Amino acid sequence: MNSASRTGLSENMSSIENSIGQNDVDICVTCGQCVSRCFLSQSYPDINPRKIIRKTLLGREQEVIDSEFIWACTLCGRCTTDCPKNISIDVIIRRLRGLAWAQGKAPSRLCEGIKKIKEFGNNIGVDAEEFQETAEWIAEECEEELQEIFEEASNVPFDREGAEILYVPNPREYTSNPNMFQTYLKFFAHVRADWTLSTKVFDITNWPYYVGDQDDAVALVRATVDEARNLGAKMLLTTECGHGFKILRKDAQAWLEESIDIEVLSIVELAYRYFKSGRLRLRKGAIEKTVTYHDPCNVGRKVGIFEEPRELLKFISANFVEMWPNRKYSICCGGGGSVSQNSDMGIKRFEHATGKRDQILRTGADILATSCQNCLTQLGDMQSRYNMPVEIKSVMELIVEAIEP
Amino acid sequence: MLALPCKNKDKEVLISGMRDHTSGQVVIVGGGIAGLITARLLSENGIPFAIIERSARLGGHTKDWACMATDKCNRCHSCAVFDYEDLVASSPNGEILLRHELFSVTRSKSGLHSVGIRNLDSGAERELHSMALVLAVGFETFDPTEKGFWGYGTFEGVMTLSDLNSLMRLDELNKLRPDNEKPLNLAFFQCVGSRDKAIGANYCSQYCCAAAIRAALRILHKYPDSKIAIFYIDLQISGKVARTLVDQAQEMGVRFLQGVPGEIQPSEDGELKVIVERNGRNVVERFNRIVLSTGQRPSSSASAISSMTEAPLNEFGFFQTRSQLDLVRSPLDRIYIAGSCSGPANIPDVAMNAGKVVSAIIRDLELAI
Repeated sequence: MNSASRTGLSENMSSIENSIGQNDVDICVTCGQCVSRCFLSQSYPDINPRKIIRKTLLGREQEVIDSEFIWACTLCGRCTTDCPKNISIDVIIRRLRGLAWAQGKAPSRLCEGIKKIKEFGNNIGVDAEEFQETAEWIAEECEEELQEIFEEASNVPFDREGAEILYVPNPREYTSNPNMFQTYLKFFAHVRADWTLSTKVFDITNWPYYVGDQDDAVALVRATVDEARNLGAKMLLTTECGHGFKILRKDAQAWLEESIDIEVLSIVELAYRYFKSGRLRLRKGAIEKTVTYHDPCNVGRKVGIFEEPRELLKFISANFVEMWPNRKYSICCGGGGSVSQNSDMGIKRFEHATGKRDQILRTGADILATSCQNCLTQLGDMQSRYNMPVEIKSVMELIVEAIEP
Repeated sequence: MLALPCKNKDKEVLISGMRDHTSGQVVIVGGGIAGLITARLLSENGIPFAIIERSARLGGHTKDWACMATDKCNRCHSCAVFDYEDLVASSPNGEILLRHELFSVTRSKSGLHSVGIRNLDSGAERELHSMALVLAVGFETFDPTEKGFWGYGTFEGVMTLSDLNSLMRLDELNKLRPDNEKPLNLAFFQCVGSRDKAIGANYCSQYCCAAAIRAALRILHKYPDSKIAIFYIDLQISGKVARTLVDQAQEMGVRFLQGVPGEIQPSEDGELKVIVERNGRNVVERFNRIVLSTGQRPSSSASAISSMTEAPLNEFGFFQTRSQLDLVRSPLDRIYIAGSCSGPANIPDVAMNAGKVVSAIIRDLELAI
């Protein structure tokens, strides 16, 4: 990674291409397809993805750097899905954010998080001891349930060398949402997973990625991959996370400029694998309600995981319905790419998400399942804001509910 | 209408005592407009031919096309196919093999090809001796369901330019306005499946700009109360006729709008809505019909025929020609490429190209009478 992102404005778009990813923006033919596909086009009528490229190429990128739009963008990538010239707007937006960040214009909440990441290795400022204590305490809270599965299941493994799986959680699991952590503990117990947590790497998120701070983004990936190697893990298993998973799966090799001999898997993929092999036994139709699935942008559109969660949900739910559009055309929840963490966006993140809201309501589903912590937060907040008659659950929560005792 | 070649049958000579290297026929694979013009010109020069056509009729895509005349001919040239079909059918030195396909091609030492063909109905096989092989397998229309954002096949009201053409050809344009009260509010989306790297079609399909404008004029001629917009990236048309068409369309109120909407959404009132940038702002436009001007993709039979004949395909899947300046010869001797199977083309381009194919055959095989 060069230092251009730290030193200020790029002269032209070519430095944007090189520093964050290859992307030939100058081949844009201004076809304008992205204008229609961006879920922000109506909320921000004076700007759109095509205009961002035009302004940047015309030397007016400062206008874009100073705009709110680049922070309202969720990096969902929908606008350039099927782009006739294969341009990826999320790469460009991240670069523009990197320039804003270098100019001290990044949202303060994100800057605080990054400060904590640099000090503690995670965005909420929890140290290793506190993490271990909290994780053990959360396990204790569901000790009986875990011990019912098997006796030692309530012992949370830390830094266990030679374990097959290194599991990297999202900080929400040991702060605001311990239920999620318990869900994963139960899953690991049921499938008798050979797993461990690390007291060095226990945050799957990558906030520097959000602000285009590539140096620190790479450093986090480096630390995670190295820790998995140190422990001798064969699999780097991520929680139900969007961007953190996508970075490890899709970008890590290129960023580290080396091949990573450790399999990167999301926990939903692992559940699917065990379900297919018979190691995870689920009760068909166990969820006696109508379920629909929201494709997280990072998991779906960017990595291509569409069918695994659907197959699982179709098996365990009495009735599964699709929202439209779905899969690679799925509409973003409106909270990704740092938007739900960025307090500057305030309630705008709900106003921007009315398309998603209407799409959910049209299904008439009782339960909306998804597999990304960011989507879960945003959709949960939307549920209460708009009083949506739908329960928001993670795919793994439903799976654990449907496990055969 | 195109200027037709000489109709003087006296000039047509059945070749009986041909030299060795010119025994047999010129085998033309494909009975579309390119194959037909090639056949007719060969026949005019006394060269025997056989047309192999998979479908049950001649004429290919051109025959599906509607006449675009309004109060005057708009020079779409689609009617040429009927003239050529008649001329070819009445040629004394040709064979037309409908419902037949190629299944083998063997090259002999003398450079001739032995071509195995099969009757698709009876399964009967036959061998033809070919002094030259002309590949004229045409193109495939892009299938817009590949790009789900446009909702083709999902939304009523979204159709392709081919669909619209079928309605015009069958004189069923009235189907577009069932209640006959509401005027048509129709948009054309250009470059659907063209100039698109994401689907391996990073090229212009050449015919669609002019075709969309002609279709717009035709609709306005029939229903003058129609509102029509053409969304384009940039108009890839040239020549005096094309410019006239644009002027004529603008005078009749057709709006030419830069930028092609990338997603169609159903609106609350049952119409179709798109978000577009106009005068620097993102605005919503509504239509009751949207026509996707679908581009030309390589023929689905191109790769099979390429492996049979060893005639190579280019990066796009069209047949490769010998050089940038030789657009009718394949890199292999005695294999010629006619019409749109070497790349997208409109009808006049195909006519010119077929003429060059025939003159190359005559020159290469020393067949001049």
